[in-house]
Amino acid sequence: MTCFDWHNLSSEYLDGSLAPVLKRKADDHLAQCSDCHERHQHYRLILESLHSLTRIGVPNEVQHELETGVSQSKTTSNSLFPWVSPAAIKAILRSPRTIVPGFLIICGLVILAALPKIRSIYETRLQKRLDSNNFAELSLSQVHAIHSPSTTEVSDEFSGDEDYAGDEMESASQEDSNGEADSASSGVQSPSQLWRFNLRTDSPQEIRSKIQQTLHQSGALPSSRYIHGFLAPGGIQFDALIPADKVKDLQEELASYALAKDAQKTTANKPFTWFRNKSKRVLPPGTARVVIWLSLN
Amino acid sequence: MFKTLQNQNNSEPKSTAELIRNSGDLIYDLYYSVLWNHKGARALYLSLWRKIENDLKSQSEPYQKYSRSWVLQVGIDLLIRSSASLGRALSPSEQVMLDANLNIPARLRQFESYLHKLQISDQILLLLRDKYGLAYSEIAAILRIPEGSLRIKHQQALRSLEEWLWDRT
Repeated sequence: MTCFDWHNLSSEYLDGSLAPVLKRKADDHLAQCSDCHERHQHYRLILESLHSLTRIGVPNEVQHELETGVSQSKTTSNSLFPWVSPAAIKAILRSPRTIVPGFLIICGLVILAALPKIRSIYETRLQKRLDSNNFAELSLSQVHAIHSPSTTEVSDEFSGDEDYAGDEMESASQEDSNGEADSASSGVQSPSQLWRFNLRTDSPQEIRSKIQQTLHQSGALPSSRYIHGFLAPGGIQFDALIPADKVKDLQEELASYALAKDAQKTTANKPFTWFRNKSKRVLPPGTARVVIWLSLN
Repeated sequence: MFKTLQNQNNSEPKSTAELIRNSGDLIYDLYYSVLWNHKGARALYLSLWRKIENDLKSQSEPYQKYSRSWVLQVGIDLLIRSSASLGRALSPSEQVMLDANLNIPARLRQFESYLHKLQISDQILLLLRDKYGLAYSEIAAILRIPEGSLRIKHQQALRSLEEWLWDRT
């Protein structure tokens, strides 16, 4: 038997539960190995120490408390959770490092879960105020919050980036163009209307001058940013504020360009479209925003 | 408080009073030995019997389980859960003093301090086996450990104690 074997069997050896053959081998090993013999003596001392440890009975007052049931009535009356031991409750209360972050996480989850509902309530209330034409009470950011979709960023400036991605927008919005045109012809204008005119042409520079002239004739506000048009990748964009009652005239004028001989030569299926969007910004009363996009074929 | 159970075909203890009479001293002593203070032992002891009383009322467990082993199992589960909050651990200065003492007989006189350096489960194992003389099979059932593993753990605990006491580290 090796020292390793003896260590593995020492527990049984100390118990005296070892098989006779193994016991004889263990005895032989202990007689030969002084280190294991020494350890064996130490183990015996430890076991004796363990066995001689003082035994304490249940104190009388604890026994009495148990028999009279005082402790039970105390705990059931004092504890909110009688099925949880007081020790466990104390342990929980002593660990604020667990409770505080846990509470914050739960609060965060509740707020996240309620966020869509809160947003819808907020928007509904703002929409009601808008419907009652109380624009003066609303800030620009509140109006943006109503009109902008939740997934898109709204820029405060009239930026070209917003509009001169015209081709994609055109294809997405052409389905609505007929219905929107009907409402345009009816002349009913909301204060925040954005009209888009998309025109595909082979000669944008020629049409550009015509559109500049038309916008001037329509009474476009000189403060409009891109009243003269600016060259953007893929085409030319105009962005102007005109009186709302001039939209219909402008539309007919632009339609005449679209039906002109040059424009009809284009290979595009629909050389000219117009449609109406809700404006993402507050416009001066009685005005409409017009964005004209001349795309190159 | 002591509810008598209506089970005619069983020779096991019939009430919490009987369970307390059979195992109360052992459990209290075990609690005191591990927690090392009367206040914690008292609180845990009362908590245990309240739990057992509630279990007896609900009768959710088969009655046959209400023996000493079952009471010890419930009691030791409670002890392991609560030992961190109720028990008294060795302070760093006590730890240093234990290590600084090179006299073996003096170390043996502080045997309990060395015993408390062991993990709770190892302390319980040594106490159940070598202080109270419970059989390995019963301890294995109480601690829910296979008997072979229990013997190895016992051996390892003894070896740790031996190394600390005789400074073999």
